[in-house]
Amino acid sequence: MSRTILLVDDSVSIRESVAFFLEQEGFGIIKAEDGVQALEILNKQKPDLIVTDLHMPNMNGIELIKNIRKSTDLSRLPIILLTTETLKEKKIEAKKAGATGWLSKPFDKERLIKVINKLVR
Amino acid sequence: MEDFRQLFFEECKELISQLEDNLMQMEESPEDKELINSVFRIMHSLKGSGAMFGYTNLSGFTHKLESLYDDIRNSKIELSPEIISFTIDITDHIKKLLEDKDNPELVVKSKEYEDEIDRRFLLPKEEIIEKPDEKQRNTGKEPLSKDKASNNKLFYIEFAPNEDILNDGTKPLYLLDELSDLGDCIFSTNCSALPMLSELDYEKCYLSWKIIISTAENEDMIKDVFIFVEDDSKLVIKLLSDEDVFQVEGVKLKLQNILDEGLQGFKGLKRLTSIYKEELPSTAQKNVTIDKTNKEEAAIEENFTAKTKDSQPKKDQQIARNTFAIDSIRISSSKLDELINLVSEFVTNQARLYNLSGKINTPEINELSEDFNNLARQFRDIAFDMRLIPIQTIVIKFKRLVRDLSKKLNKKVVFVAQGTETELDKNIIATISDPIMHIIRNSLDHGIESPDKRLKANKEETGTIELKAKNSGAFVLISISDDGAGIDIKAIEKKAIEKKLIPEKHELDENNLLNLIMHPGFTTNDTVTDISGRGVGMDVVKKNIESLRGEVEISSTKGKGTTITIKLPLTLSIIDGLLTSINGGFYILPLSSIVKIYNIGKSDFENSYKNIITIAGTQYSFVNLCDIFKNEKENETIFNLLLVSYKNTKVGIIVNEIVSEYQAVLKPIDNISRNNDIFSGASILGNGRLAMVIDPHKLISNFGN
Repeated sequence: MSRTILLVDDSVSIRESVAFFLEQEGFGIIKAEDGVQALEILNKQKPDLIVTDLHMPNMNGIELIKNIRKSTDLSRLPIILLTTETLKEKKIEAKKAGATGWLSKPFDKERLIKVINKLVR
Repeated sequence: MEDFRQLFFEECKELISQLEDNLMQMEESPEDKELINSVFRIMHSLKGSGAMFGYTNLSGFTHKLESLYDDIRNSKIELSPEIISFTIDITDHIKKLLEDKDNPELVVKSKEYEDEIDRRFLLPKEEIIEKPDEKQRNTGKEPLSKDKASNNKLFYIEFAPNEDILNDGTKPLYLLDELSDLGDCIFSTNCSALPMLSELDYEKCYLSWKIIISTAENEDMIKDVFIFVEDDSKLVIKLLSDEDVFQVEGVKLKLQNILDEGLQGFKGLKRLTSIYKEELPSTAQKNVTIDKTNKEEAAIEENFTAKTKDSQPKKDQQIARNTFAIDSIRISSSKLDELINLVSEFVTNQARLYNLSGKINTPEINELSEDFNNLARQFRDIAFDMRLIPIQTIVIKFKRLVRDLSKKLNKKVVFVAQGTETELDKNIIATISDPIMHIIRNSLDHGIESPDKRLKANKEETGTIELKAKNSGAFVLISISDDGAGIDIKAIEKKAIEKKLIPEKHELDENNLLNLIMHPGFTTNDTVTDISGRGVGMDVVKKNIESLRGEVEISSTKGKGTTITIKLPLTLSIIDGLLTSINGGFYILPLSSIVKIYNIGKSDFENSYKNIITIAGTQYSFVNLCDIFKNEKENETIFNLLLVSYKNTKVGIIVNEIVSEYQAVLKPIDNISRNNDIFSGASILGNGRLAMVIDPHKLISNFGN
C-alpha cells in the first residue's frame, strides 16, 4: 500500500523537488507551505510521516511539531526535520518538541529515502 | 532536475523583489519587527535553495546575512542605515549571480561580501558558532569514503531507552540500524524487563541493548546517532579497545556470547579484549600460512556476507581478491524457474501453516508460523531479485534495429535510451522485447518523416526515438517516444468508421480514438510496407503487454510526435495482496495499487447517484464488487471502500470484509467466466479455498464510469 508523506516547506523549489524524488519512490505526497497549512491538512488526513522545514513564516517547524504532539492520535507520527539549520541548540530544541529525526539540507537523496523507509515500514 | 531549476529561478526572482520591497520600507520604518523577520526568512530561503541547486556562492553570504538579521531581530545588533544600504547592494549582486554563477569576478565578489559582513557588522562571537557548523558539515559528508580498515576502535555501548520512546515516533531499531552504518556491531538484546503478555502495554518499549561496535569514527559520531533520545534514555558509551580485535578469529562470537549471557561487565570485557589484542596481527599472519584453506574460506564468506564492511583486515581482502575475483556466477534460467516454483509452493504451504496456527492458537506454533512468514517473504524477495535483469540487455537490439532500418528507409534517426539500469523479471524482459521492437518499427516507418519533409516542417533533419525506463512503486514504466509526424486522429476516425468499428456519430474523445489503433486488425497505412503493418499490429502489442498484467497508453500530438507508455509489474508470479471477502467468497487485490481503506456503511453508497461516493469531503466514483459478485443468500453488513489510484484519479472499490494482507501465488486461469477479464489469476488460500485475484485497472475500465 502506498505510504503518504506530508511535506512542509515554504520554498516551492525545494518542496517540488523533494516531492518529485519521493513520488518516484512510490510515496503519496501531500504538500503544505507552512505549519498552519500543515495543521489544517492534518485535521482531515493522517499521513504516515511528516517531513518539515524548520524556518517558515506563520508557524515554524518546531511549533508545528509541538502542536502535533499535543494531539493524542498524532503523538506517535514520525516527523523528520529537513533543514539548513545546523545549530546544536536548535537540534536539541527540536528533539524536546518531539521530532523523530533531523536531516541537513542540501539533502542526500539516498539517505532521506533510507531514513523514511525505516520509519514507515 | 532542470524543471526544478526553473522553479528555483522563479522563486528567487520572487524573493528578491520581496526583499527589495522590504528593504525600501525598512529605510522608512527601521523599527518594524515584521520587516526584519521577513528579510531573515528570505535570506534563509535563498541560502537553502541556493545550496540545493548548486549556487554555493549564494549560500555563503546569505548565510552570514541570515545570522546578521537573526541577531538584529533578537536585539543583539542594532539595525543601522549602513546595514540596509549594504543589503540593497547585495540584492543587486544576487541578481547578477543568478544569471552567471560561475563568473570568476562574481565568485570573488561573493567571498568579499562574506568577509565584509564578518568585519563590519557581525559580533566577534559568531566565529565560535560557525566552527561546529563547519565541523558538522565535514563529518556529515566524508566519513563513509574514509578508509576505515586501518584504525578502527572498539566502543562499548549500553542503551536502555525510556519506556515511552515509541510515543515520539522513534523506532529503536532504526537507531541500531544507523549505528551499524558506522561500523561492524555486535548487538545483544536484553528482554528481561518484558512483562507477561497479558500485562504487556504495546505502546511501551521494554527492551534494552548492549552493543560493541568496531568503527573508525569517534565517540561524538556515536553520540550523534542517539542525539534525539539521549535525554530520556540510559546511554553509556565507553572506549573498549584501541585495537580492532574483531579481526581475531572467533573473537566476535565469543564477545557475542559474553554479552548475551551477561557474563562480564565493561571492566571484564576490557580485560578480555586486551588479552585478544595479543593475537593481533603477527599471530594472525601465522594462521594464514598454517591454516590457509580455513582462512580463505572465512575470507570468502566474509566477502560474501559483508559486502560493504570495510573493517576486514587488508590481508584477508587480498587473499579473497586474488583467489576469488568473481562476484557473479551464471545459472541456467531453468534452475531459476524451478526455484521460483519451489518458492511459490513454499509460500502456499506457509499460508496453510498460518491458517493452522490460527486454529490451534498456541504461542509456540504462532511464533513458528510468524518466523516462517518472515522467512517466506525474504526467500521470495531474494528469489525474485535473482531473476531481475536490467533493460539494458535488450536495448542493444533496439539500437541495432534503428540503425539498420533508418538506413533502409533513407531517414536520419538517433536512438536514445534512458534508465536502462531499471530491472525487470527476465521472463517479462523476454516477452516485451518483441512488442517494443514493433513500436520502434512503427515509429521509424510511420512516425519519423524523411529528412526533407522534416526540414520543410521546420524540424531538425535528424529525428529522435527515445526509450525511457523507470521504476514507479511496484511497477516499471517504459516509454517510447518519437519526434515524428504524430498520429492523424482524423484518419483513424475515418478508417474506424469505414471498418464499422465505431458508428458514424460517436462520442469518443481524442484519447479513445487514439486507442482504436490497438483494436484488432486496425491499420491506417494503406500501402503495407516491408517494415511494419504486416499483420502484427498494435493489437498484438497490447495483447502481449496485457498478458503480463501490464498496460499500454498512447499519446500523440500531430506534427510533434508520439509517445507510447508501457506499464509493467515488477514480477509475475507472486504479489503482495490484500485478502478481502465479498458475499462469502474470497478475492485478492494487489496491495501496491491500494491507496487507502475506508470503513463505510451501506447507506453511504446505497442510493448514490451515478456511483459517486463522498469520503472525507472528496468525491470518488466507485465500483461495487458486492453488487458484481451478487449472492442472494448472503446478507453482509460490513462494507469497506478501497481507494485505488487509476490513471490520474482515485477510484473506490467496495468489498465486504478485509481479511488480511496476503502473499498471493498467482495461478493462471482459463476463460471460465464472462467476467474473467477483470481477473489476473487465482490463488489457493491456506485453508484450501480459492481466491480470485482482481486486476483493479481492468475492473475499473470495465465497470467504472
